Amino acid sequence: MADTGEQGESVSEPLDLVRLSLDEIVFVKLRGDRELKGRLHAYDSHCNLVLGEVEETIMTVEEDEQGQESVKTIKKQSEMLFVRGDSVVLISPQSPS
Amino acid sequence: MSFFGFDTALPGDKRGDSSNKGIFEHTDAFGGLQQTRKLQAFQDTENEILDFDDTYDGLADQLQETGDDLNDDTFGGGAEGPAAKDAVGKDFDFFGKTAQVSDAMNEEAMRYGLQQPSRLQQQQQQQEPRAARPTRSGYEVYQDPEYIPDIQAKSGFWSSRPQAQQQYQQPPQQAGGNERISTARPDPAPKPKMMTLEEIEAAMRGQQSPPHPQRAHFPLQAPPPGLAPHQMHQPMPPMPQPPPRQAPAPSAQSQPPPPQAQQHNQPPFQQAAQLQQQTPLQILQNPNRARHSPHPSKGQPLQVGNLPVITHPEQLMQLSEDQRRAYLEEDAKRAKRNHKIFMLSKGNGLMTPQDKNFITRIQLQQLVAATGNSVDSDSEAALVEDFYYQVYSQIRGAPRQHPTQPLGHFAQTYLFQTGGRTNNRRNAVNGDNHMQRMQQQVQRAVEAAKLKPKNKQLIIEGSLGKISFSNAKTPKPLLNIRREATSDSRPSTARKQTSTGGSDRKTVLKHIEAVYSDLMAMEDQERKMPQPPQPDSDQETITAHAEWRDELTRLNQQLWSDLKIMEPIVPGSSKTHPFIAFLSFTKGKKAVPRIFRQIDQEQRVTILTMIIVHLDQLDVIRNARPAPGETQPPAHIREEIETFSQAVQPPLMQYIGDAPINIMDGLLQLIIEHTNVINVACTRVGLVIMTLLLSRAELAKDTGDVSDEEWQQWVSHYNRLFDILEPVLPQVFPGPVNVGDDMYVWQFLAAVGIGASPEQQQRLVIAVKDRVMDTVSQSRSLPAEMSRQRLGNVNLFMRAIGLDVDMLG
Repeated sequence: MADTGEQGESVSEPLDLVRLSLDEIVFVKLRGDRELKGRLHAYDSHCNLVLGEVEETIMTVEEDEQGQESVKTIKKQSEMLFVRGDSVVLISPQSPS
Repeated sequence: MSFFGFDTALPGDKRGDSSNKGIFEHTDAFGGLQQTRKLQAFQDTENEILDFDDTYDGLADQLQETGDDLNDDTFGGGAEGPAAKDAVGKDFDFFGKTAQVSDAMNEEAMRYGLQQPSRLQQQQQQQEPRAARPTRSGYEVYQDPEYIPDIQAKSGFWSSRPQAQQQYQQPPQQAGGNERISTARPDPAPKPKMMTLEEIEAAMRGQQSPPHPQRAHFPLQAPPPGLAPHQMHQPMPPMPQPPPRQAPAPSAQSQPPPPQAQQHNQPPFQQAAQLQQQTPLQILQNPNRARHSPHPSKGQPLQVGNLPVITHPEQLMQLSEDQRRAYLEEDAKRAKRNHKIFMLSKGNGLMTPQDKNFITRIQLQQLVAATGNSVDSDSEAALVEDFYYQVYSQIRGAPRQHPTQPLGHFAQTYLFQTGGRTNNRRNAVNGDNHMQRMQQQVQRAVEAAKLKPKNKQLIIEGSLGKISFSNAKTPKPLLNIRREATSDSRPSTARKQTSTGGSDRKTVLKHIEAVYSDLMAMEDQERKMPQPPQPDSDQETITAHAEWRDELTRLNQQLWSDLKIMEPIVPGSSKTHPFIAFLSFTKGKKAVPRIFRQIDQEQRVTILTMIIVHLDQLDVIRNARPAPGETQPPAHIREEIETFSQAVQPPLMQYIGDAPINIMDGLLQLIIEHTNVINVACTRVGLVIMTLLLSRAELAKDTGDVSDEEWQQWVSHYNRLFDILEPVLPQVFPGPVNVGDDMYVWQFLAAVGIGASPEQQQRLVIAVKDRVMDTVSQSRSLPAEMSRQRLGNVNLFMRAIGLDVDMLG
């Protein structure tokens, strides 16, 4: 908002680093074995995020008859996503590939 | 109560005592008939017109009136009596006075118009020297200054007396036919009895039916048996022909016929009757009412819609089958309609006007809170409340200067309108109150909000720490990290910049964020702009504005340094210039229009120069050449190009559009000397920018503000550019003929062609001849729409060098 610090240049708290990734592609790891990759539109101090053009990856462990565990991944695409901050584990910049 | 105040209770009249009572107190409401009859008999013997004044007993003068002390103030000074009238000053409130009596005046005028013929007739008939004394006509009351024009004596109307008077005064006038009428009645009531309310209503309705329809029927009817012959040829519309029509009062007709009465010798009575007659007539000239006027006269075919008023079940039995059915249908319809109205009116009156006002106030409050009220002049609070909406509305309504003004104004207008619509002094006061209360509420909220942050923390003496409060707006900070003073952190980043050349990704991102912060600060500052100082402004205003201006300048400097535009250009360096790196990010490109709004012309030309110098290093040019085998650059580059042409090009274009030719010349020289023209020319952005420069130079030349020297310099640079470009012209097209949008190329070629010498034009044609021919032949196989578009593109170029596609056949 309008009242952010005069010198946005200075990185004095962790979230200032997140700010650098605004409008960039970020990788977000969530609790519950989920990962997101998308353009960061907005964030707040609770790490609530708004992401655009998101690809969500959900990893589930499935057990077959012999007790063999296998990891399955499900991918979802979303145009726009609101992520509640309490499930965010990490946010990482991701240069467009 | 008698109508004109004379005593109608004649001696010997048994029921005279009851004459002063209203309908509901009467033991016999219609006993008055006999009175009237007797009175008429009495008058017959006297055979003289009663003077109104003679009958006035002056009782009213003896009344002790109270509460009239302020009458003078209210009515403009004792205007009672002719003497007092002289005292009326020049400031007499004509309108007010007239308005008070306008009803009565209208009535009077109408009444007079209707009465005039009958009065003349009377006078003629009487053939007495009374013509010389028209005051005796019974009309003289109107000339009496003390005459009270408001004759709508409603109380009299509702009381039994005048009604009875009128109703039973008529039959005597019709002279003697009453017996036959009463025998004609199917249901004669032998004795006067109490009338039911329905019957009275029906009787009144009968009276109220306007005279005109009755007159229309009149010639068709056999003359009512009781009608006196002289009345037949008398044009007397206001006098209804009562006996046949007074069906709902059968009991009345049962009275024995009164003695013969001559109409012309009882003007006061007639007067009374007529007055009585017309008052309801004016009020109730309603077609629906007229339809209910009963026509039970024998032998008269029933007209559609002319249904008798049924007030008694017995009457229903008397009707014919058709009539009964029609009546029942009508009744059902009416019941249905009434039910509908009832259903609709269920919620009526649930809310008082105050309730409605209250709701309006709540809604308005939200409106005011959401948009900010220009009255409370605290747009700051509005911005804090809903920043994004404010900015959004500002953007949407770009021409508006102050975002809060129009909507606040709207809210006010709405408020005033609702206040005005009630059009009632009390409500207007209420409206004001609402406004005030609303303003107070907003102000209180703002003040409370202002006070809050001051005591965010409480330090109790002797305690080890601070106690901080939290609320919804400012949650209690669990981590109290002190923000480093900006001066502390700055050297470190500056050091890093110099070491890395300021072009690594993170640094550039930091620059971008810094620029955005500056932009937001500047835009905030713009919103806070104080009143521009006028020549007659006081010192405070001038100082405030000067301070504001200084702050803006400071912010501008800040922005300028954060843009890193003045970083030295290191020729041959592998590092990208920070500003060009800035532009390689989407958000960097998007910032450009906002930056251009905040900087002056000199800074703009600096930015433009910087971009031109590094034209071949811009990501949208460097990465824009499609990979071998591809016809287009990769998707994300295409997006960047799109962003660039939407965000960066328009401000540049705007600047170039006004720039003088020497700047064009300088920029062209920079392109030739500092960039790889071939690479630039092979990209869309590069071509568009060169097109801008070339066409602006031509335009400047056309408008004539170009000196020969400048033009010669320009031409020499143009020639150099042409020589460089000529060999690669066939390659500047994106892909083969059948793909892509090549309009920008044709635009560029047109811009080149306009400035070209004839010899250069020829070379130009040779260079792109193949493409022209291919496009023309290919467009023949395209649908008409697309074909026209592509040929149009080619024609842009062809016309520039004086040719046309059509010439190619």
